[in-house]
Amino acid sequence: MKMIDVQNLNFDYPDKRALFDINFSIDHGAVVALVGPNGAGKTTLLRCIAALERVHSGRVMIDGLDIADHPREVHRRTGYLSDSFGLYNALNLRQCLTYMAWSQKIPELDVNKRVLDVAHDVGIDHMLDQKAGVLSRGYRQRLGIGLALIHDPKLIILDEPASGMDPEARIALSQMIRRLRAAGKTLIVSSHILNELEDYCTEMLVIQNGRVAEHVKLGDYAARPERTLIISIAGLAVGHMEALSRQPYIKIRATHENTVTCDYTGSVEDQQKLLQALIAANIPVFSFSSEAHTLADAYMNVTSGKR
Amino acid sequence: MKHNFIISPEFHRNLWLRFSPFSLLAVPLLLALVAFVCIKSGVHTPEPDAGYGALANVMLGIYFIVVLIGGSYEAGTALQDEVRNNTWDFQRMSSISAAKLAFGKLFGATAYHWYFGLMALCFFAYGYENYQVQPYHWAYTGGPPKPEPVLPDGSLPVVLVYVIMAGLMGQVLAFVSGFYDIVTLSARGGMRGKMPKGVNAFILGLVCSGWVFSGIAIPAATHLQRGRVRETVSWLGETIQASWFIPLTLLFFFFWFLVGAYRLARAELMYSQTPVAWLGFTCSAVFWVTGFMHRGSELAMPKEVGYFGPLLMGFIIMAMITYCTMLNESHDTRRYGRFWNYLQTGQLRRMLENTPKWIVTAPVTLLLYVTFLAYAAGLTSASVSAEGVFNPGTISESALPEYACLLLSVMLFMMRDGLAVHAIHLGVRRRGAGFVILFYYLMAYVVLPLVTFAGLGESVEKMLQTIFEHARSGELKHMAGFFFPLYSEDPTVSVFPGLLQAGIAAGVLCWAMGKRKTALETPQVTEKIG
Repeated sequence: MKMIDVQNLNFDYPDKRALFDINFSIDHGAVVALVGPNGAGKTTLLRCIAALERVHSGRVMIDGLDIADHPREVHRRTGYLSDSFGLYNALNLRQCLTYMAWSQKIPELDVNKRVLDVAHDVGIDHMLDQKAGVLSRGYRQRLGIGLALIHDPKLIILDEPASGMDPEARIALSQMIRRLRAAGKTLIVSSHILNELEDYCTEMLVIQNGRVAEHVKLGDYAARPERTLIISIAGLAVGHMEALSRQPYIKIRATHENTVTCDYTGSVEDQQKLLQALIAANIPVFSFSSEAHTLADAYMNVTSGKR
Repeated sequence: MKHNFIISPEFHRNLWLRFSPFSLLAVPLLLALVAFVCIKSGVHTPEPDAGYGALANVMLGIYFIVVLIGGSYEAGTALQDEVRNNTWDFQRMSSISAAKLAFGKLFGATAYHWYFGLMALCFFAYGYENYQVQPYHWAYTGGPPKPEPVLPDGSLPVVLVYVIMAGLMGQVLAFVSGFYDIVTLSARGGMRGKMPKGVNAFILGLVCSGWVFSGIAIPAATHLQRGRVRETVSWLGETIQASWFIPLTLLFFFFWFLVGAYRLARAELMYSQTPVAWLGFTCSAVFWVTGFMHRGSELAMPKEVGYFGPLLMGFIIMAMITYCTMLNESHDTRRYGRFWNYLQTGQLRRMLENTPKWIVTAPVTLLLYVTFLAYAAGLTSASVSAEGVFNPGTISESALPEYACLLLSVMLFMMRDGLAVHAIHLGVRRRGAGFVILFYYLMAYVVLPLVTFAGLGESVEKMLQTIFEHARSGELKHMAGFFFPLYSEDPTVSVFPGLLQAGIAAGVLCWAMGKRKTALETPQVTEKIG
């Protein structure tokens, strides 16, 4: 049984259809990066998965439960942090977390311990008696994540969780997501900060124009032969570029000063031959490096129509 | 903290937000100060007890301001604040039950107002119990001067119950209305739509509580005072004690308001539910209203004749409810989309869950129409003995065809309007739809009739005469029938124009549905990130 199974999902706003025939499934324990351009339908998709919207047609199953038939069961298994969540500013952090623990029907004897554990996990345990209204953006975000996690959900949906966080808080968030992943939780994280997603995600789901443009397991993607070659050439000229573009397996992506960035599909041996050929052609190569494709490369390939 | 049905986490959160040691202490101190001033104000007057009267009046005024005005406002805007502050999704995702959420929010949002108001009522009760009519009021009777109590013994609890019911009714209605605004806002396009401020909900609640307060509670007090309380009510042809009927009526509506709050909370928590509660509310409310129309015994007619009025009134009210609901739900194109989708795929349970409310009351309206006609057709003038009074038997014999055609024509015009408004919502952008609907009604009921009659060289007066007086024989009845439902037994005058226009409106609606389907299925290109 999959943790998330979406079949032929269509969702309408009054003036337009936001999601078109969405199909995908996600295993238990996966950490999915949900990426896509602004307005692509990411937040709408997350709200449908969290059983916060009524879908036009199709089916969304969470942990074997149809959200249309068992919305409250789905809510109990899901922690959701909206991209524009709010807090009760007049309550202190302990009260905010305690209220949510009560609302999630955590046994009374466990409430205090759970509040302290979550506060520790998100790094706000030293400020539990402060009012939520005086928190900085980063700490508000931490408290929001704490509220979403208070009932120890199996599925965690975070919409732009790193928004407004300073670098230290982002590292802490990244570590926390890794801990949740190690604890067997399934996460969907929507973000525009692709290099951070790469740190902890196992899958990438790209949404474009309300459709699934790509759904890849990042391990599989890394194992693909596609690499990024970065070649630095002294006095880079048009002739050098022409010679380079004539080589097999290579496609020039960008140039910057003396550096050419290319997509390369050849093997390691092919790379060796390429370097020999460039030197043999008297092209003054002074640096030659190869990198596996990053999440950002994969995303850009998808959104620019390449595979 | 052990939570239960009333002291829910939501109620508890509201207590945290609204109560503090200062606010708890401030209320009794303030009220005690006001009470002291009021009582002392009467000491040096000819009526030393007048201070207690002033105390009662001032405290009732404070109660009105705090509970009826302030409480209705808090109840009407309770949910708006949650949505505006983006805390609503957390609550929707929590495990709290619909009842605990709704009632915790309602009674939590108004808890401080009740604390204030109930304390004011204690002072009110103290003032009223101690205020007595003074001897000089009785001097003209020639008897010995003797203070008399203003209210008969035991009447104060009745007044207090009515006053408290006034506050509860207004707050619950404001809460339900505010909740409904949020649910329909979500239906209009998620929480991104224009956020209602809750002012309409507040006004509705205030009108309701003000009506109970000034229409029931205060008259009860003054009637009791003057010994002129209305003792009986005629309902369903029976004479019922008012002391039972009025509180039960208030409880009846209070119950349905609570059901409304509960069902709306369930809707927001994404529970599946059919419109059965709506059907129950409308049918029972129509039954309650029509109960006052049973006039058979008053008109000295056989009892069965008395059903003429209730059936006709029941049809009219149910038709109005259906019409208003149809117009109100016409913007919810997404619900119609789901309804149609599940209908096509044969998923009947889900289709029922997405059924617009007017579709539920429309068959009841039709049933009342048919029942009314069948019942009226069975009446004869022989069954009526009184003269010079409203005579249903005579009407049924001579004018039943006109009645039948008029009521059918009314339904067809309602259907025409409903279909047209739905087509407008499908075919016009959201922001412009309100203006187009207003334009439609102006054109359909004012401009086109006036222009047509003016084109034929007829006056407005002639048009109105045709509609209201000469629908049977007027020269222009065929023309007028295209603009208004007419009282005529000729179906080509009263039924055909409505039928034709309803058919045209249905055609326009089908066209708009096709246009919308195409528009929806065309993806819009989204922005790219760099």
